[in-house]
Amino acid sequence: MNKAALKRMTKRTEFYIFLVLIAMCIAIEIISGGQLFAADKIVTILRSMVVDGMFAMCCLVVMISGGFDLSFPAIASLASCLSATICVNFGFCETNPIIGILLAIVIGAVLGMFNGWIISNFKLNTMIVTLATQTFFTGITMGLLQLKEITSKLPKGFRNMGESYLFEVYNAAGLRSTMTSMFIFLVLLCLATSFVLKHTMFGRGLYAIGGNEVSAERAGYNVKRIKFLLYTVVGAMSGFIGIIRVSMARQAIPKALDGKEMTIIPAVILGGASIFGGEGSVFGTVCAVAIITVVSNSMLLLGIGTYWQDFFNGLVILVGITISAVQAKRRNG
Amino acid sequence: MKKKFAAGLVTLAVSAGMLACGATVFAEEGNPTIAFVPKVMGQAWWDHVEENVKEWSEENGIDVIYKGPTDTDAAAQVQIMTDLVNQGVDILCFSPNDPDACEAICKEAMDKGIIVIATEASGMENVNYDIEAFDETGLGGFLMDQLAEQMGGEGQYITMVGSMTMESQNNWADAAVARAEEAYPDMELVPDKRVADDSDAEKAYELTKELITKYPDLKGILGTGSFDAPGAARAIQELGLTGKVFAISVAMPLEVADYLEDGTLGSVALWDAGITAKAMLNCAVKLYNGEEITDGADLGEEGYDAVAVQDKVIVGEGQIAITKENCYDFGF
Amino acid sequence: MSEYLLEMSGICKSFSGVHALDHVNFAVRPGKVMCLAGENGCGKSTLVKIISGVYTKDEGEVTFEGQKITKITPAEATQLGIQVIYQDLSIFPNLTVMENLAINSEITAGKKLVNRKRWEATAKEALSKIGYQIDLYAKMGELSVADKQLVAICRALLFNAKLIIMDEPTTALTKKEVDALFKTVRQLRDSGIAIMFISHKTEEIFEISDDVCIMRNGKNVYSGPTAELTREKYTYYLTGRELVEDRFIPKNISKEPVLRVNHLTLKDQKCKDISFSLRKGEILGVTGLLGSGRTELALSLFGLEKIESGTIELNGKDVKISSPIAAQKMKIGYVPEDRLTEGLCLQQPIADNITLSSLKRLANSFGIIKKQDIIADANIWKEKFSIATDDVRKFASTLSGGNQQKIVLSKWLSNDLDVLILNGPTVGVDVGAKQDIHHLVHELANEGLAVIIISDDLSEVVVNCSRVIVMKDGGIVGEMTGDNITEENILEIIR
Repeated sequence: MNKAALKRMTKRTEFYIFLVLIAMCIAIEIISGGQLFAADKIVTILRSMVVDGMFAMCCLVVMISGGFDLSFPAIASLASCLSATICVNFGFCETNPIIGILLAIVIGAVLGMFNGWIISNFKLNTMIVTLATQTFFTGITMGLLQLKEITSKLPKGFRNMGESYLFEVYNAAGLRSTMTSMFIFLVLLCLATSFVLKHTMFGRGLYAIGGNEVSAERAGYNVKRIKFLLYTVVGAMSGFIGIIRVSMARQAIPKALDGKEMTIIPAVILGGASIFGGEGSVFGTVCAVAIITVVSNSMLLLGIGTYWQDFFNGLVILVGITISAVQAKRRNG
Repeated sequence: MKKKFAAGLVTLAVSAGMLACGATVFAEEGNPTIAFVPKVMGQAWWDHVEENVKEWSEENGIDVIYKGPTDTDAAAQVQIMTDLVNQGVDILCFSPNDPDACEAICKEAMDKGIIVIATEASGMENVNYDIEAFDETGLGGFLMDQLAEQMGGEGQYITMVGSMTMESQNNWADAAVARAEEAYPDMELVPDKRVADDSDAEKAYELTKELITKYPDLKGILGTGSFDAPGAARAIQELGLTGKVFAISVAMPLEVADYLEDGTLGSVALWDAGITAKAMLNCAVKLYNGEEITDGADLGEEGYDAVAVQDKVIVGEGQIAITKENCYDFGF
Repeated sequence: MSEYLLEMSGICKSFSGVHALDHVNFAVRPGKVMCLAGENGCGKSTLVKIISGVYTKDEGEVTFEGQKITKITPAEATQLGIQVIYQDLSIFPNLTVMENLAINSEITAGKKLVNRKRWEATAKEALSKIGYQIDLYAKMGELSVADKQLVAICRALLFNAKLIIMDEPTTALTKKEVDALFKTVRQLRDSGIAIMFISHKTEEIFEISDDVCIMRNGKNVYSGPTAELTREKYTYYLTGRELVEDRFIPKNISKEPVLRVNHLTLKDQKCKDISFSLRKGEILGVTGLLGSGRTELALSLFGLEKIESGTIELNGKDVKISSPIAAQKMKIGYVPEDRLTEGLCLQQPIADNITLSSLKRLANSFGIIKKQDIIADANIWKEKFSIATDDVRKFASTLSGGNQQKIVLSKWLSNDLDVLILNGPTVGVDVGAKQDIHHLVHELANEGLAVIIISDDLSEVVVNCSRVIVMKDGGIVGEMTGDNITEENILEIIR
């Protein structure tokens, strides 16, 4: 690595986020008396990262394009609960969850298309649009369809998928922890997102649009189509993540994801994505999600009382947003 | 807006239904006309209540009109109650979606001399009695008794709630801790005392794992919310701690049936709303026949054979343990 | 084949019945620089958009390389070799130089995947066209405006550009950067590329262009070689008026100075030991290079710079100017250089902008302000300054630069002032409006206002000031009055 490249690296938020993650892990390891770097703890933390990490990828691509998506938890809830309800009523997915997964993806894609259609056609502020559609989708879930909690009736296919695991680890006390197979989806999604962002014209287009939308149009990008496609794919992914979450929790609760955007978006910002668009990376986002997950999974170990947990989560978010704002200021002179 | 509209539709539909069956509302000689209004129709919990009400009706030979909103909608429920009062029922039993919203119609009913019995409505003014299946101390103590039995009366434990701001769940947990202090001297509450799982089984699962890491000697988790035991059980099962760590909470039987069957959970707590409904009907008929209900009265059902009466609230001991034997009996 | 690369004749374009272009004729020769000049809103940008295919003309004929072109899309324009470098440069500040250089041609080639090696080769090829060297992996947003511009030029050259249109490229550049840009422009010209240069800066046009096309109100009023044009004629064509710059002659100077500055030194030595006095009816010029301390001096008089030592006297009394509010109370007004960011609320009505600093005066004893009073007050200033708007309730953003500057001026003048400080009063203002502003300032001075003009536009200083202070490195290096004030004399001291 030459000097210029090293200098560039140290300028990037991702680099610092990674350092923070490492430093924090070491600190927690010491304070908790060696309870963090244990195989079972790591497996548990990785498990907690699955859903948040996948949501963060969706959020990341939208933010790179200069947008904001507040509606992804609402899409995930509607798509997964509707899919599960259909499966329960028609007796699908008793052994194989594939129909339910496809249903959730299709429903999610349709809802995402709705977002994309409004955003690309009317050129409205994405935050306002998705705030509105979030409420609208939640309204469909709770009011129009009146989807109910599905717990014991959840088709076995989902349960089996959620329960399946890659390997098991034992801690010093001989306690078993399992590495959920759903982790594969997180890894695949991260790799795919990274590839798309770095190595496809579509991905570079997202950066270009986030950097300067007018210039992107002049350069020859079909901005309208890219945005439509982006929100559709994000919707489809949200539906998929929703059903993964249902499988892992073994229940479909329409309200379980409420407010998820308020932890995911700050995490993505913490990971180096700019609130003004055009910046952000998969690596940084994964590090940031890891930070937030490690913190929230170590509160008890650190002896931080339940009342204080929101305070610490808020603090992490505040730091992330401040970093982003300071960087944006530096960039814009 | 949408909700209001939907509520309007429901009300309309229900009113039409009421008109249609209005003709059947007339009392047989000597028997009161009874109406029972649940929070909602078509949900497993209330389907179970309906079955019990029917059973009671057959046993006693008294017809009961069982009608409720199709959604847990306060406005639609009040509309149904209004229609029933106007049709001139003698007894109105109900479980309000919003107690405050029901006060006006209940006052009207009582002015007309209708006997009004509520449940899950403590604090309501215009009722003859409000019957509660259990009181906070009773349920908390009951949970602790169950857990202590499984733990062998000794060891470390912690309490778990849906959130630190849920009043009733925290009161139950307080009562459980008080019960342990009084009856189980060998049980020790760990320093973290209470954790909250945001009413999310996934979070309960994560918390349980973290708790067991932090407190390797932890033996019991006393939850109060319905997400606590299912989440904790999953962690206990995965960790291979079945029979070593015990968890309990209020929970829906079918949701934890698997864990009860394989022994991960010994029992969970619940109250049988069907029995409560029968006790309500018994109470109402007693009042109709001019009897008085006093402290220690027998309402003729299990757990209600010696109820505590304070002002307008009747409290039974309706909490029951759900075990692998009875977990499939309820349909929910 | 004709001697022209691009010929346009009888071009008409109207938007909802309003003629934006009215039978415009002009031509561009290969290997020459053609300047398109005109005041704001004269149709320059519409014309550019027709050439680049963004708009379609209503009437007229376009010939490019001898071929008649009827209808054209932006992509086709690129194919023909027409490249537009917009004022904002159409760059992506968040991407690297390499990506900025290569992305357009990659899209045009319909590529789906990114091939780093190919991108790098493309970028290197682009830079080699003008022999420009820069770190390919530097972030575009971190470059200077001049560097960004060169990258944009390199990118344009990738498409085998035959005609490069540059939309007001010098706006944000320093004099040195402009010189460097012109060097590149000449280099391109010499390699046979035609340059269409859009500007309204007189000096630049005469320096760089071979041909000039001047537009006014959607018509082209002159097109021909620059050599056949004098500056006076140019101004006449541009504005449609014979503009004679009257030199300011003070008529009404007070005996006692209204402002006296004694040995003023600012924090961090931004200004050192400054002493001068100012009488009513005078226009004092303060000039010097960028960084000479001229702006800081002005800001200190308006309470925006910390004073380390020295005193300021107003009407013979020592005063301390701690904040802009204090300055206003002492009847000192300041019109900032960047009128858009510092002086105006663009998305507010013109009337509100004018009356913003005099709301106290308009309010009744209960502190309540009537809407009609605001409008009436604004209309007085609109008349006085001939602000070109039909309704003062329109947003300030609807006005041209010159008229916006007039608003900022009127905003201050609507309060009773003793001293008015103007920092670069005509930066970015076209010639006609510039003259209006100058006349206005003369009038104000003769009515008894003391004016300080801070400017690096020497011609402006010479024409308007009765006395000039020249600053360098924070200190005063020269002072001249009356006929001694000439551009040559000032330049001699500045250097």
